[in-house]
Amino acid sequence: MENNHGGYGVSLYLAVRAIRRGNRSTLVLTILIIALVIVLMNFLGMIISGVVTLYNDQMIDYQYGHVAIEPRDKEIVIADADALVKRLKQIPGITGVSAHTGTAVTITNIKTGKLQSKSLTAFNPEDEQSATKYHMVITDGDYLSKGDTGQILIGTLLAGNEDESQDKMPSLGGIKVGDRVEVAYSNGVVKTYRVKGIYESLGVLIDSSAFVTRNEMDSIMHSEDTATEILVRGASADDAPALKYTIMSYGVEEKVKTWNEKGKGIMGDAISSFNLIKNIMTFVSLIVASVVVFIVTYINIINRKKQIGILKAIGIRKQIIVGSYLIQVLFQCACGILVGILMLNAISFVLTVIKLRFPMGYITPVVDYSTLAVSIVLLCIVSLVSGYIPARQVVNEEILDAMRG
Amino acid sequence: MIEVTDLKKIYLLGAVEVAALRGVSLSIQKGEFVGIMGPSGSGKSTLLHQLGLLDTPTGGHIRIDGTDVAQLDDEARTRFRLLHLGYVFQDYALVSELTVKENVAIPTIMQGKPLAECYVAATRVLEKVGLGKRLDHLVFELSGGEQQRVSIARALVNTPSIVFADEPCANLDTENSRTVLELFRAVNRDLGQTVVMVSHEPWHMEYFDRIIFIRDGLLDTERILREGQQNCPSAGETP
Repeated sequence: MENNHGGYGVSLYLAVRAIRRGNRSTLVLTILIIALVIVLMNFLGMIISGVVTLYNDQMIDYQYGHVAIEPRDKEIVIADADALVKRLKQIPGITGVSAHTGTAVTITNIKTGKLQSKSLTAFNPEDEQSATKYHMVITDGDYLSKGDTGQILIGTLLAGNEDESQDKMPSLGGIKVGDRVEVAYSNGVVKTYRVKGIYESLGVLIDSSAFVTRNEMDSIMHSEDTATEILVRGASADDAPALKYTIMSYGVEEKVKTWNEKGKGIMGDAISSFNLIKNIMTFVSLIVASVVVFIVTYINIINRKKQIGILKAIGIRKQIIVGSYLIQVLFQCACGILVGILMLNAISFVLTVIKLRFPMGYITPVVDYSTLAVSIVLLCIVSLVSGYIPARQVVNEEILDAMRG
Repeated sequence: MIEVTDLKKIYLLGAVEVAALRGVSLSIQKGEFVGIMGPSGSGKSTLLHQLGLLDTPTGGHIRIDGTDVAQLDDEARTRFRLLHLGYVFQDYALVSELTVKENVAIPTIMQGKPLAECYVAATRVLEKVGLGKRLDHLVFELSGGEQQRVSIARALVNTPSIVFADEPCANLDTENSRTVLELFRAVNRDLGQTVVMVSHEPWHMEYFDRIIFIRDGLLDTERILREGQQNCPSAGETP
C-alpha cells in the first residue's frame, strides 16, 4: 500500500469487502448477464468459425488438397502431367500428389431413365488416397482400384433416392452399388458403367460428383499424360502458402494456388455477410452490457450514497471511492467473462454431441479465441466507463447531501 | 485551537436565500469539551459542519491550528479531515459492509499504514470504548449504543486534533446516552482530546466545559453569560 494518504490499496480493501458482504443475488445476476453478453457476442462467431473450418477442411480433403496446380494461361490442360506428378512427389514437404482430368458428361440411370449433366473426374485411385479422403467415406460398395475400367464411383446426393421427395438436389433417382449407369461423353462416346461404390462426405458440392479411373478416362477421351488439375498435399493447411512457393521455386510454370486462394471466392461473400451480422450482434450486445452495468452500478451506488458520504466525511479521497466501485465492476466483469467462456465451451460441447447439420455437413462449433479476446477487452472498457460515470456523479456530490442518502 | 471570524452560511432554497449562520465569531481552545446548543433550526449543526469542513461557508474565516481552512482545495480539505479531525454522527454513519474493527481501522488504513498496525490501533481504541469483544462483528449485529461507541472509536483512532460530534445521543436511550457522554468526557479528560458536540438535551450540559448557545444563526451571548454563571463555572475559560 502506498504511503500517500490514499493508495489504491484502500479501494481494493473496500471493494473486496463490498463484494464479500454485499448483496449476493445482485452480484450473481450481474455476473450472469455479463456471461450471457459474452455468449451473445461470440455464439454466432463460433458457428461461423465452425462452418468456415468445415468448409476449409472439405475443400482440402475433397476438392483442392493443400495446393492445386492448374493449366497455364490460355491452356485448358496441363501437358506432360505424369512427369510433373513425378517431380512434385520428389519435392520435400509434399506428402501426396494426384492428377485429375475432368470432362462434362451426362449420366443416365438405366433403370429409371433419369439423367444428370455433371463433370466426371478421373484420377489414379492410389495417388488420390494420398491427396484426398474419398477412400475414407465410402458408405456402400468399394473404392476404385487402379486397373478398374467400366466402374464408376458416385456421390450419395447424385445417386439420390427412389422417392424423389427425399432428394436434396436433382439426382439419378436411387442408384445403388451394382446398378448400371450410362455415361455420355462430350466426344460422343456413350458407355455403360457399373456403380462400384457410393461415398458420402456430407458436402453438397462434393457428394454430387462422380469419378472413374484415369485409365478409363484415357481410353475414352485419349487424355493420356494430361491433367486438368493436380492436387498436392503437404504437412498442414497453414503451411500451404510456403508449400506453394516451394513448388514454384522448383520451376513449376503452371498456375499454383493454395486451397485458400481457390476457395475464398465461393464462400467469401457468405462469410463477409456472416461477419457483418456478427459485428451487429457484437455492437448490440455491448450496448446491452453497458446499459446493464450502468444500471446495476448506478443502483448499487445510489443505495450506498450515504456510505459514500460517510467515507468522504472521514477523509477517504474521491478517487479511492470511485476506484473501489471500478474494482467491483471489474470483478463482476471478470467473473461474467469466465462464466461466459465456460458457457460457450459447454454450448460448443453440446453442439458437438448433438450435431448441427449444414449444407456442407455437420459442423463442430469452434470458439474463436481472437474474437473472444476482442469482445472481452471491449466489454471491460464498456463496463468500466458504465461503472465510472455513476460513481463519479455520486462522489462529486456534497458530503452532507450524500450523507442524507 | 479553532478560531472563527464572522462565519456566514446562506442556503438557497429555490430562489429564496436562507441565512443559517449570520456572522458567528468564536474560539475553541485545545483540550476543551465544548457543547453547541440552541433551539431547533438555530444553526448549531450548520456551525459544526462548517467547523468540521463538511460544508463550505458562504463567508468568514475558520482557522484550525493555524491553518486557514477556507484556502484549502477539495483534495487538501479531504486530507485535513483525515489527519486532523474526527467525526461522530447522530446516526452512527458506519460502513455496513465492514466489521467493527475494519470500520475503526479505515482512517488509519487510508493514511497508508501497514494493515496489521492499523488493526492493532483499532483494537486498542475499541478496547478503550468497551468493544474489545465485538471486533469482528458486522455493525448491524450491534445495538445503537454500541454502534455509536464504534463511531467514537473511529473518530479517535487517528488521534485527531478535534472530534466533532453532531447530536451523538439523539438516537440513544438515556442509559446509552450517558455511556457515550461519559466516554467523551473520559477521552477529553484523560487524553486532552478537544471535543465539539452539538446537543439539544439540557441534561448534557453537565458534561461540557463550555457551552456555545446559538440562536437564529448568531451566538446567543446573553444566554452564554447567564448559563455560564449558573451551570458552567468554567465556561468561556480555557483549560
